[in-house]
Amino acid sequence: MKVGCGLTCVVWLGASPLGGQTSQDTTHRHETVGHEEHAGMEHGAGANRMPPMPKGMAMPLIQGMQGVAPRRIPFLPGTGIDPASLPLATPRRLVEVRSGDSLELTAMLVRRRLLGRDHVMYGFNGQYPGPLIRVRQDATITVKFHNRLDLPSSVHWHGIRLDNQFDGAVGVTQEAVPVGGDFVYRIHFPDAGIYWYHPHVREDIQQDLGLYGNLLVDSPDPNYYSLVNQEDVLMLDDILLDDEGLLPFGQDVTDFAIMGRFGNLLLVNGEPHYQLTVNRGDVVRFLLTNVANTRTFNLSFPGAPMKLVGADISKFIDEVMVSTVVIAAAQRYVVEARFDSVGTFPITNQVQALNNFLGQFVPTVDTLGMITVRPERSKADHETSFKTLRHNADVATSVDPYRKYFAKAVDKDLLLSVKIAGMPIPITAFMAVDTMYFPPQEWVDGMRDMNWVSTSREVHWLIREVASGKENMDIPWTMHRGDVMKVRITNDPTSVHPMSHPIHFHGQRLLIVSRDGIPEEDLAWRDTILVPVGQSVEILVEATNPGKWMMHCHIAEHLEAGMHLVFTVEP
Amino acid sequence: MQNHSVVVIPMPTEVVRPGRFRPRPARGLVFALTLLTPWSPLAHPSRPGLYRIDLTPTVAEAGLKGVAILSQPRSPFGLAMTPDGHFRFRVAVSANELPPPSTFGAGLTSYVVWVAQDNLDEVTKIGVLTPGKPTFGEFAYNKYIVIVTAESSSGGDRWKGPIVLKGFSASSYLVNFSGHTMFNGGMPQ
Repeated sequence: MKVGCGLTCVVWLGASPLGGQTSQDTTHRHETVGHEEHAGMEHGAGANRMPPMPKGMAMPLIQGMQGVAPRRIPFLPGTGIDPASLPLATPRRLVEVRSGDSLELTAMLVRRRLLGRDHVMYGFNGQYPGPLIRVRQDATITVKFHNRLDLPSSVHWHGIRLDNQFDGAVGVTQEAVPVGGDFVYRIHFPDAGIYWYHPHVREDIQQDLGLYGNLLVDSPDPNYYSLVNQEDVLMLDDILLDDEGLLPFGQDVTDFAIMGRFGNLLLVNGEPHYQLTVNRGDVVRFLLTNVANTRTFNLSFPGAPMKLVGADISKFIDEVMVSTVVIAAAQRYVVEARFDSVGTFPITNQVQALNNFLGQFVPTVDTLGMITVRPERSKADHETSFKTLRHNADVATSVDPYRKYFAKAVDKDLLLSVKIAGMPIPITAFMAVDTMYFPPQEWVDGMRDMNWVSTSREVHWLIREVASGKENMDIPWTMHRGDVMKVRITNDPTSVHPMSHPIHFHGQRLLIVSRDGIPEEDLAWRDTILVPVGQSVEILVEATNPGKWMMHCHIAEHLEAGMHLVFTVEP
Repeated sequence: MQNHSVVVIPMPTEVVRPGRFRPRPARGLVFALTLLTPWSPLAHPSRPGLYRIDLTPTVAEAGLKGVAILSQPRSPFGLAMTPDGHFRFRVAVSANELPPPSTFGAGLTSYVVWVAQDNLDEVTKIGVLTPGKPTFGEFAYNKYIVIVTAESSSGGDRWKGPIVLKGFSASSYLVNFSGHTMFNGGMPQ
């Protein structure tokens, strides 16, 4: 029997084509995209094919998993549309806008070519990522948004402390823009730095399929950053593909609800092979944004010293040298790196991936791109500046009025947890014995069967108010403009499946005061904080921007699985 | 978990729908195991803490105990990592009421704390342990053992004396599930 699902997808009802296999013929081994060593059930199964394993991992199918698939209606964009009829997406373009300018932004179906193969995806203005919008601090612009997708949508201006009505949070500040509909956003940029925009409805689908772009807000201070030879804006992402193409999403509910949808092809600015050429001795400033649904990157430039300059909403008070950047979903970091050796060097994401089935850590190196260092010397030598760790007095001045609140009592005590019920029995059985260790941070999807099958029907991620026991949207939270609220967020390590969470506050800025009671030394204004498993983070939220705002986990699937609340800032 | 008895309950017959698990009668054992899941009202298995390792004696000496408290070194990211992806840990090891080291052998004069990879390929010397005072150090391993040895000298980079206390990281409890019959084709059919 064939039934429509209300969009453009089709789902077949009937006996699973995977049924009847034995454990001996269902071993699935996948190395990475494009690898030919495939056998077993995950291919040729159409909408319900098993996703490939992460690079370097293999494991047998859990007993009893034959024929199990997520309880959701599969969805891929543009079903029934000839991909050749769609415009081939092009790399993003820089759009410099001045205060008072208007910008057209259209979310649309595009044809994306990845590793030589075309896929139907989404794009803003037909580009990947969306246009890089460059604007001066304190400017106000108008963005006329047009939804030409096959799903309702919106645009959230991540990290921008703008007027509440233009925040793009569907169900809180606006209704979703229907297919074919339009919405006008007016955006004021009070802070310099790197920001981004993305839909705020079904991010697990829309953002994953390419709807994201950066906003680069320039300070009027010419010395805001140190002098560098080059600057590049990098959006870090991943996407999940197999030999048949994109793995379907859940149309009615999100899938991959436990750990989020990890991709197996890593992308920088939408490309799997980012390249940059510099001169010997060049200092490059990278403005990084993690736009992946769930993946946290452990990024480094092997052989190039790196300086951490800024975070989400401001520079750090004091710059610091780092060997790696840990950047969680939705976070931004600004780093500077100096390339003083001639040659070609990778940008790497190196992790100790966890294979839950074998109980092993698997050293994993992903190459995100290559940087070629030419023998020609830098046209301008910024070595001295690079080696100087700046103290940013402007940031210190903005933080100083809040230091008196660092030691205040906690105003809001929140616990991050999860409830899981109704999962397929074999997975439930596996989880019953796979509970002894959860790392502070999961870097890959090491138990893909379990994760894929989990949907927001069975998985309910929770923000729980400790005092009242209330959860998610039931938590009452009102502040008044000018309030400085101390919030403690603890990531429960005893829950069924702890995971680290990037917690995002809309419309306000915040400071991390301490982690596990240890005062934070590296102070910067942020909007998204990583709360690793077992950690307790205390933050100060500065309530300056009236309205109803969301706070949520920025793992797209966790947001869809309920991990959000709304707080109000009264005028 | 071991406090709960396993009860085999026959599986109900279900209509097969797409995306639904198709049960087989022999899955009764599996279903019974679900009663032991941590979210089941029947069970809450104790999970070793990520940041606390209780140190237990390797010899039959009454009262020997210690503890290793782990924390993250300073990091602007909230997670301190090495470039190759290991978590970095700061450890504070303390042990009270330790007898004189010579209790464990003639010529032994000090206690020394070590952290070793589970395969013992790499060892990090944390430092000399003074009873009543924590000994601090850093390391970055996936699976590891915290060890206190009695030594005749505190200067070496490998232990030579007897191991007095030991404790395993939470990650050490990860096991290979392929050895379990329920995951290896050995399920009763």
